[in-house]
Amino acid sequence: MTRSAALSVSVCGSTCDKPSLSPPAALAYARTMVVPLEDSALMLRYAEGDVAAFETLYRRHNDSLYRYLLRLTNNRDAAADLFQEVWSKIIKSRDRYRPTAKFNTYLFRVAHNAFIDHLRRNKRYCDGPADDPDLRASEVDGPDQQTERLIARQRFMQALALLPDEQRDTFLLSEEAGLTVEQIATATGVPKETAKSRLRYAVNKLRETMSAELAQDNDALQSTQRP
Amino acid sequence: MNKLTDNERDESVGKAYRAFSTETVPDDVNRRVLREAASGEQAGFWQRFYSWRRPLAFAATLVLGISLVYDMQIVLRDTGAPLLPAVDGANREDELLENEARYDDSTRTLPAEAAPVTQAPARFRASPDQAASGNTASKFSVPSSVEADLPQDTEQREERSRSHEQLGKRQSAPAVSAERAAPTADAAEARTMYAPPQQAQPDCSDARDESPYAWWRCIQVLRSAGHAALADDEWQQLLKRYPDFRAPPSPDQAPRC
Repeated sequence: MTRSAALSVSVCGSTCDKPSLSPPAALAYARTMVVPLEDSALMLRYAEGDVAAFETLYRRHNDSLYRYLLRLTNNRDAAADLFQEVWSKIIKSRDRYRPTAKFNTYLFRVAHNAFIDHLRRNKRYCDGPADDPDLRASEVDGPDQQTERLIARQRFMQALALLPDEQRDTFLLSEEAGLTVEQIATATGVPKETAKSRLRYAVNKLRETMSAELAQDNDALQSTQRP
Repeated sequence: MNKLTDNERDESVGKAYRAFSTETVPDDVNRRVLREAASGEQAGFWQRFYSWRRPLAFAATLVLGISLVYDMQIVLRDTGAPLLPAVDGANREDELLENEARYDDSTRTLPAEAAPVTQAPARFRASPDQAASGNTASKFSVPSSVEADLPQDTEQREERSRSHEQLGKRQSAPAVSAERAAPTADAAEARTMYAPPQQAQPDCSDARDESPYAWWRCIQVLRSAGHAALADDEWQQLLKRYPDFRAPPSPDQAPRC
């Protein structure tokens, strides 16, 4: 997708689907609407100097990226450092950004590479949770529920932490970034079948470690809104 | 075991994960990233500006250097000055021209005492017998009858005899002897009979009449030919005649009259 095409497509939005409006009226209507821009369009705007566009883009992906890095490193400080490092690279390379793929794929590919570099520099961060946030009870639950929830969370997160790095990485890219197997393969630099098998093994292991009690908790939490 | 397609995830596991993983980015981390994004935009402009600093500076230096050299060449060409200064640091050409103008014989009458001596006094001329015998050495030795008239300074006498002796050796005997021995009336005939060859030893008699610079060049020729004493004598005569004369640093720089 070319740069101008990305900008024009993203701006059109849903207003183009209102045939009842005359063109001038449609244009005026469009001006009153807040049309969400695509990630690539926001990044291109930021490259042109629109800092507000970057903030919008950042708010869309900051939490998912943070959780991704947190689960990979199992360390809050390391996750925060890597988080800043990833966004810093995004910021510095804004002039060279080309919307050849989804911004999400680009972002998590940078994050994946940053994690690999981090592993090579210092493996101590990944050897054990220095501060496991999942061990802290939720504020909205009661004492019993807090205990059950806490236990269920502990079990799940421990199972996730025990996964090999590659499988955990693949699972997190699937869940946090919402990438397909093909996109995961592109982000991690492995063949599609390798990414698919890694994801399968990770899911199977997590499912096996889930007890009936955790499954019941999942049903109760289906309606829980993620903040 | 669920079979996953390319775009399928296990919903139960996914739901469990999303239920348990609710962390958010700390506020201080958010602020740092957004601050960097804002400053990065400002720094980007200056980065782009300063990225051109080095090549611009190099280009400016190159242009300045070339223009300086070009301008210098134009100025030097217009003024006629040499591109490089003289070895001793002084451009003597102006001084030489000035000196030449001062000593231009065509515009100035020389004092009587500086009249060139073209012929030796009679008392110093050799006798016809000496001239015919070809004894050049004895021809130019001071006759004993005349020696008494000379100053009693031994040193000057020796120098004079040495110079005359060298002059005699250099010139052909018959020609010189004829010129010096023959009386004034026969001088012209002697010169015709015993005219020196065109390629005779350098003689500054002609140069004395041209200009002091020509005389000076002739002295340099004598000196380079090994006639130091004669050259010194000529130099003394030049200084006596042109007391303000200043020798140029090299013969090439003396103006050609």
